[in-house]
Amino acid sequence: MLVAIISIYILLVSIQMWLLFGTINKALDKEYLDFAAYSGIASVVIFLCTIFFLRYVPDIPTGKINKQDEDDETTY
Amino acid sequence: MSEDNKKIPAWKSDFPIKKREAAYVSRKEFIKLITFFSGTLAFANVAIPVFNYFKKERNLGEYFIGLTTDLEVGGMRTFYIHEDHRNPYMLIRIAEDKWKVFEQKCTHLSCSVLYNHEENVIECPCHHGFFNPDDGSVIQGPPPRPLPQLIVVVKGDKIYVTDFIKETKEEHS
Repeated sequence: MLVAIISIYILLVSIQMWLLFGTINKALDKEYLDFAAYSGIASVVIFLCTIFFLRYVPDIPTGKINKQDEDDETTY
Repeated sequence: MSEDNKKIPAWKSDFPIKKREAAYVSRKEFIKLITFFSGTLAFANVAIPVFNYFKKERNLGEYFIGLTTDLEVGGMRTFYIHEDHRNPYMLIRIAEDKWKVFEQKCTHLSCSVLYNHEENVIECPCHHGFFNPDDGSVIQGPPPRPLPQLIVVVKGDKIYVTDFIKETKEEHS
């Protein structure tokens, strides 16, 4: 499940990078402002989706998985 | 002091940070980092068009760049506008009465482009990008967009540039 969520995250960020690449290459002047506007809106929507997906990611507390490791001599 | 503590060097006991705690990055932290990166991309994607919308357009007026007698047919000359050496421009003479001015920076990675009269192309020697000298459009290679072009006005034997020519919309037949 977690692997699927991480894959979705990477896919969403890739789409955002593609949109930004298009904006930089096409919309540096005012001729393609409509493209830049839609691209910006899409990028913000994707960002909101990534924030929304955060609630489905479980938080595993740091350092509490393998107790036996901490008893080891090389713990520090 | 207990036996256990004797085994541990003094520098380690002064900084009792668990190895796992120091090196461990949870998946949630990793995803938070990706979310932060996503937010940065979204901000850039909104900021660039907004900045361009409110940016004031440069108005050159009529800027004198040279005499018609300075350049032979097939020749090329580099010049700067208002001594701005970050943006070089090239004046090319394609025919007896056909003059063109382009920005001399390749739209790929800003190498200096050169006019090749024999092949009738503007060539970027760095990564072999080719532009059309008539309108600056990309013929071949990695450049993602055409060369910015300026309007040329010839009055008598004096050559002036006025303003940027707006990029024409791509036509798909």
